[in-house]
Amino acid sequence: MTDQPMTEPVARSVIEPANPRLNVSRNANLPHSPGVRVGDLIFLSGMGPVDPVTGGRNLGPIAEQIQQTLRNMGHMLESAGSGLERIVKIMVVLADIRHYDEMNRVWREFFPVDPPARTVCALQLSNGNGVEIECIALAGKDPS
Amino acid sequence: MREIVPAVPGLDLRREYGHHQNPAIRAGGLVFCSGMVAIDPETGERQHGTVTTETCRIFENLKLLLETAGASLERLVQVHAMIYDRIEYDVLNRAYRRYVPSAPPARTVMSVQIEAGFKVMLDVIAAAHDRLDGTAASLPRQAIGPGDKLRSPAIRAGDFVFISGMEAAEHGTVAAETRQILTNMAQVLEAAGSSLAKIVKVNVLIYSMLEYGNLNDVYREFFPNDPPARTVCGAGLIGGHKVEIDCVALA
Repeated sequence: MTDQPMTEPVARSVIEPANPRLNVSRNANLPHSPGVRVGDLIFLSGMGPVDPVTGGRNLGPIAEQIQQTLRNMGHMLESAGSGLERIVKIMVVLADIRHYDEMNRVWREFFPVDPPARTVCALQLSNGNGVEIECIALAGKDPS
Repeated sequence: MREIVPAVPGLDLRREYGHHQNPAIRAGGLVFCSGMVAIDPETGERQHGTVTTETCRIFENLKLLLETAGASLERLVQVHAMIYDRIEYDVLNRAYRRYVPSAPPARTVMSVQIEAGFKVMLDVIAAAHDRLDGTAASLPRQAIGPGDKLRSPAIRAGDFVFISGMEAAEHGTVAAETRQILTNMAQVLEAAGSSLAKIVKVNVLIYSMLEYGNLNDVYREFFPNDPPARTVCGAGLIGGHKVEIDCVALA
C-alpha cells in the first residue's frame, strides 16, 4: 500500500484466535473482541498470560508471563494472516515497573530484528496479571 | 508497508540502555512512536528534571524524530501523555500547550509508573506529510469539533478518527459515568462521520479494577455485536473521575 489516501470504503472485521481457549473475551463473556482489522491495520485487545491448553492464567514468574503473552499474541496475529514481525506499535502495561529489564530480556528473544515501536508503563491490572500487552500490526503480506 | 524510521542516534534507546524498540515505525501513512522520555538527542544521556523540563525536552526530541519520519508536531494525531503523579497535571499542561498546534491532537492524560525515574512520557501517533524519501504524500488531518489549547475532541487522519479521552461531566458510579461517556462519545463520533459501531480500539481507564464488572455491564449495552478491541487498566485517572475512555474508529 502507498501513503496516498485511500478512496475505497474500508471494511472493519473482527479477528479471533484459531485456538478457542485463547478467545478470552468469548470464554469469559467480556464485551470486547480479541482484535479488529481495518484496511491494512490490525488492532489487538490487551492480552494477558493465558495458557493455550487449559485456558487458565499462567501467573508464574514475570518472564514466563511475558513469553506466554507474546506467544499468544503471535498466535492471534497468525490467525489473521499477520505475525509478530509485522507489529508496528506495541504497548506494554506492567503491574510493577521494576520488571522493566526482565521484559527487555524477553523482548530480544521475540523480536530479534527491527523491533516494533514500544511504550511501557505500570498500572493496576486485572486478574492478578503481571503484564498486559496490546498492539497494532500490519495485516497480510507485503505485495512487494 | 512497515517502515523503520531512521532516528538521530541519541533517540535510539537500544544504544545506551538496551531498550529493545525502534523509536518510530510507519505504516499506512501514520507514524507510530515509541513512548518518549527526556533524553539528550546527541549523547543519549537521560535528562531527569521537573515535569516542565522533561516535557519540553520530549517535544524538542519529538520534533527531530517526526521530521525524519516525514511528519511534524503540527501533524500529531493522538497523544497519550503519561505523568508520574496526577498532582502535576496543570504543570504538564502549561508546557504542553506551548508545543501543540492550534488544532491540537486528541489526547488522554494518565498517571502511571514510568521507567528509570522519569516524570513524563509521551506516546504519540502522527499523520505523515512526506514519504521517508521526502516526496509528498500527505495523509489528510482534520480536527473535529471545538477544542481548546490542549486537545481537540476528535482528529480525523485518513480513514481513522482518534477521540480524546472522555470523562463524565458529573461524578457518579462507574456505571453512571460509563453510560454518560459512551452516550457522549457516540455524538462526537457522529460529528466526525463515524459511529460507535465503527470503533476499532478502545482504551479504558478505571479508578479500581475491582469495578471491572460494573464497567462491563454498561459497556456491553453500547456494543451489542462485534465489539471493538479493548484494553482496560486500573487507576491513573485525573480529576477525581472513576472512568475515562478514548478510542480509534473508522471514519
